[in-house]
Amino acid sequence: MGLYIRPRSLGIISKPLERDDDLRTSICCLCNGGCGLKVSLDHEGKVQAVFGDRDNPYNKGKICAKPMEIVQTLYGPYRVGHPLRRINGKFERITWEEALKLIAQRYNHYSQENGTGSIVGITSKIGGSYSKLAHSIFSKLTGMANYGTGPICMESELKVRKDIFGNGSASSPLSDVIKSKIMLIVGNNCAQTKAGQFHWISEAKQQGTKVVVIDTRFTETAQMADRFIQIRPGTDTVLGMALLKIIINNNLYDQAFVSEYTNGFEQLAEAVEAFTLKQAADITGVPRNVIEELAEDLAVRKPGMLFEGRGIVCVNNAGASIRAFEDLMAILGNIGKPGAGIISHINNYGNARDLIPKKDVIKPDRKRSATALYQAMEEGEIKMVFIAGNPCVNWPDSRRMTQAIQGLDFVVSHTLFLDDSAMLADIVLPATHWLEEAGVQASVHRVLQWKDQAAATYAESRSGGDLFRQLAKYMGLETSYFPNSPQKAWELERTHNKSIEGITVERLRKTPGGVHFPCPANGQEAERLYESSLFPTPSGRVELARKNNIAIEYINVFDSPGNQGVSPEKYPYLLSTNKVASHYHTICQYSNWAQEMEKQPYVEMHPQTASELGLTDGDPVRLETVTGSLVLPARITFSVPRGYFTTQPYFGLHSPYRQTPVNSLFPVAVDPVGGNFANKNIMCSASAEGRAGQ
Amino acid sequence: MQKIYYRANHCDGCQACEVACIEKKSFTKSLFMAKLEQPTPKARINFEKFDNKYWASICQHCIEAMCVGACMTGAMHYSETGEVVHNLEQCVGCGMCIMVCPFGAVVMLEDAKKVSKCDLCEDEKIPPCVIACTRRALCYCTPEDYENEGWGDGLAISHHW
Amino acid sequence: MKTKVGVMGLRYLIIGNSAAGIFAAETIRGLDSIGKITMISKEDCLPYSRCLTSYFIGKEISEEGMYIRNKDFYTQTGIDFIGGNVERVDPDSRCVWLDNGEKVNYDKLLIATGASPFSPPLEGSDMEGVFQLRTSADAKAIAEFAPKVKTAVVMGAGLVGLKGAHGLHELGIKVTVVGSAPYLMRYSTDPESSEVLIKLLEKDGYRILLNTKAERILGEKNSNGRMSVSGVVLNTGEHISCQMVLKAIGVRPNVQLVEGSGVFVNKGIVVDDEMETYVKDIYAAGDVAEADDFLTGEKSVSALWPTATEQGIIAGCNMAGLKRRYRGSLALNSAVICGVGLISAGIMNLPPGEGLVLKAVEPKKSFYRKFVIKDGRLIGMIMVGNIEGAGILSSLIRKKAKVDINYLNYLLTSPVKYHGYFPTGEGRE
Repeated sequence: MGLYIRPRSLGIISKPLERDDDLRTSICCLCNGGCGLKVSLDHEGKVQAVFGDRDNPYNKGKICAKPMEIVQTLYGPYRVGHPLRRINGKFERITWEEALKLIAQRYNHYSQENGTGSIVGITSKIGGSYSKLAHSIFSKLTGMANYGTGPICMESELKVRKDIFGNGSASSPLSDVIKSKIMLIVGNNCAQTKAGQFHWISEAKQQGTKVVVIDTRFTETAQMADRFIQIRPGTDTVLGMALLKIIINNNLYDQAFVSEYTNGFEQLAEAVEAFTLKQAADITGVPRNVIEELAEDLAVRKPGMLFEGRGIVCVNNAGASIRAFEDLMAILGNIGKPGAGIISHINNYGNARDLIPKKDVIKPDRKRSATALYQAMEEGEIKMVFIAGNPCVNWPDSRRMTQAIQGLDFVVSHTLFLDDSAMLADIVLPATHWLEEAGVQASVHRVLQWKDQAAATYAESRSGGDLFRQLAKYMGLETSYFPNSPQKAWELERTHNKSIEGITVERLRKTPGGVHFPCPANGQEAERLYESSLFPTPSGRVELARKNNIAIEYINVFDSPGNQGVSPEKYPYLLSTNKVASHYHTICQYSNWAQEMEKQPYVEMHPQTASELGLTDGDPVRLETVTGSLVLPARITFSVPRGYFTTQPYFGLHSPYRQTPVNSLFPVAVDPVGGNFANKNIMCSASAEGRAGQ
Repeated sequence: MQKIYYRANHCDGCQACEVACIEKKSFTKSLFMAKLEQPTPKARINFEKFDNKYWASICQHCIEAMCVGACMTGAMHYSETGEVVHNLEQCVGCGMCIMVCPFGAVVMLEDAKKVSKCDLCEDEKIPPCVIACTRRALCYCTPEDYENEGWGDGLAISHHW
Repeated sequence: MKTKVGVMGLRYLIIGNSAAGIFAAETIRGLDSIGKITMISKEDCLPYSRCLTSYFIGKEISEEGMYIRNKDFYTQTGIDFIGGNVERVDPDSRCVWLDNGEKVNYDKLLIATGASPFSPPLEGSDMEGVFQLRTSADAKAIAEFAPKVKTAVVMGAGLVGLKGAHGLHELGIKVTVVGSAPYLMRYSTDPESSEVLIKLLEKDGYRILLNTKAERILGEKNSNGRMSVSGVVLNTGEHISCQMVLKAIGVRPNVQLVEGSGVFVNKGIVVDDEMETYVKDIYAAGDVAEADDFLTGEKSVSALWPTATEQGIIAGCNMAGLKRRYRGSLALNSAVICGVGLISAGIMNLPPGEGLVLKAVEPKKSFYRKFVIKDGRLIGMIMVGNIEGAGILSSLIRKKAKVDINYLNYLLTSPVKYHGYFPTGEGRE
């Protein structure tokens, strides 16, 4: 039989080299975890290894596979070193000046002829704070609309939490978990993917915090939990509602907190009556006694914390689930106290205001949702796109995205690698890696940490900060708004953003582990949000119900966006993607180490499902959804429920794996409440693919 | 009629069959939730290690089943195709079948005050325990196939009368 | 699945439609698809299980739940059912006479008339509120009367008595069980296991009186002018007030119909190992038959469901022309008392000094096990508590195989599971 878990990459603790004469300190910028890194350079000044920084108080030397894999990607064969231009279908090297001149010319042309809305940016990973600021200044000056990582990562979480508490950021640092009595981890395999943070949870567990993991899969995190609750895919809302119901009906909630600091409790109490406990047990597949026990645990063990993961956020009915669980924390009074609150990778410190005089600000002449982007590109409404990231792999319906980008007049890709999206570009610009750029990195503890440039920039690559400033010059825009170094950029940002005003570069450099934000001019940092029970919602209270007065509305996963109208006879199974540590980002596929750890993408399935399809371990299986099909090898394991497939996202055709992105199987569908693309629980069919020689 | 045969010489005692059976018979259909369920689901396959040898006993769907004769409610009966079928609704949990089954293949569901046994998972193409058995110690086949493969001792077919 | 044997067009007649009759009829039909099967029974209803009557009283099952075959049973099996009472068997002219004067011919006759409750005469037995428990009619009468009852006395501490008591107890009636034997279920327990069961019963609110007999049933005139039960006087002099008396002393085979037919009757109708009586083509099976005992080899009547069905199958086979021998009846009993299972098999109580007895008892867990061994063979056992795997031991008794004493000692406290073989000390069984 296959495996109960994926055994790889559990708790890797890296150890610095003995000879550490050229060891630089940096902060990992991959998952907003903000782990401290030590970067070892060879005599040429090239990065030779990346370790965890033991002096960093947050990750304490522990990191996961992803930053370590970077070493091979930095100087690897896929890295772009020079600006390239596509001429007659082939890339030819050009100079930066030629490239920038061309882009500026085309940009101005489309902007004038077709309006500012004809140019969009798809910028999932633009660089550090320096590049981000330059990018935002550039956007403001030109009216370029941007699509970031939000819809593919955390849009729902951000929106729902903002609705409830007024701020989408994590309310508490992860280090608070040690003070908590119960830790609820929902749809989050942090043991596998967040090794730099997971040690806090292990430590808490040793100190007596009860760790409860709710997941569809038996993950590494579930393996270490005190209680693992396996839930049917897409039914988290019902479990959350059942917990709320028990807690409300038995008066186990924090009545003082609810009456003083919340709105909409009645609507919530009404909404959770939608299911009886028996129905909830039938829907979720969690026995009633287990639900009751968890509710009791939550009520008795206070303070408690919640850590949601992509398993509950990137789902087509995410909005309701997130609200159910966060409302639960709110009515239990688990907010604004040490050891209580919600942990998240969302750490918005706000945007700099009034950087540019009003007269120079141009607003995009059209606004489109992320789903409307596809159509706008296909219909020729969009002429030019600026890409920093890999939307052809990590956006849903990747084939459609690829075709849409292919059909555009002009595509610019500012990229590290010649990935699937860069291959479609007319101009490819080499980007700096985050190790090659100084800046501020926000992390899961809601701290800002400064990192210096650790390695020399590779070949001719330039950071986004430099690129946008220079492009602005060629376009004839006012360049004085642009900072010309990361330090200056931060100074500019800091002085225009009240929530980080007290955080200077010097202070960041002096403070190991960085400074918590918000931190206004008086220098007072806020380790925890809402300690004063002031909520930045319009009413100043926690909003337990949505604006339409319906607190939580469960949407059956089969009737959710992306699955609506799909025939359950034709597509009887559910397909999800779940990241693994070594292939967390699209750039990971260019690392040899990543390939060593996970040789190739595979699709996990229950033995019974495999038997239904006539598959044994390793057999190729064809997965098909309404948007397409692809073939992956099967991996048989008890860790997933029956009738459910899961595979790893973020593999591309233009990578060592030569793999059709699995996101091409996911329709362009968003969670109606939160606005996140769904990359889980999409109905699919599966069949054994004929093997060679048969 | 297909049934499950056990070949002791292939068994390495991993008990995956038992696990798969518990998962299948659980309310939650989840291996991980099964142990938390009330009542705790019971495997219909009885695994035993004795004398450093392994044995999994499971309903043999006997040609002339003692349990069918002993059942005083008519809950145990033969299906059209010859399997010994247990109708849970008729069962009163008197234990008569347990008293006579020479394989100890009938289990008592204490909470329900009823008994149960292997039903070959009629809703499955292949029973989960057989799928779980990677060493092919459990075979799901007809008596004829079993003997033709040379696995048996000739008794599987000759028991027809 | 079942091969056809070349006996065709025979007229089979089966008297009685309970366990032995039904299984015999089904066996015959399986072997002979064209033979004419006629079934005669006093009880003009679908075959039901007498063992379930107590469950019906306790409202654990519905009336339909007592039926062991569905309503199409007779038509599906191709049985002509006659509701009537057989008065006389006439082997010479190969027919039976019903009490309405009707005559039914046969080629092969099976007498599966079962047994009837029997009790020594007792003063007051004709009063309203005195019941026995055998048929569904009895059960229905009890169920109808039960709402008026607050306390009841069950006479007889055997299996039927206890099951009846359980049924009444389920209805919230306070039950006193009066047994003349020194312990419960004399034929299927021993004093120790009886002790365990008594504790359980008393904890549940039953009153158990052993070594006691009822002397007299007291009555009083009720509203409709009939005498109705008001109490029972015991031989100890005690007077128990009650509204119902359930007599469950024992059963006697229903052998009246063969009187004068030449069929040899001892306690029951004596049969050979093919279930044939001493008269050719007349077979007997079930509670009415007196067949070989498996362990002693002596003729005995065994009024047990599994025995009846097995005898019915054997009789059916032989009637249809397939020779099969009956291996003898093994005393086997299973009961669930207060949620605790009891299974016993074979000879539970040996005379002192004979054989070897292994025992394990854990009163707190209501766990008791006893194995009786003679000549290196298991001949009897009692399991109380965890009864799973009891069949493995009962089959061990049936196999008369030599068994390693150490192995039995191991099983005394471990869950009984099948290992593919039984250690005998002589290689594989």
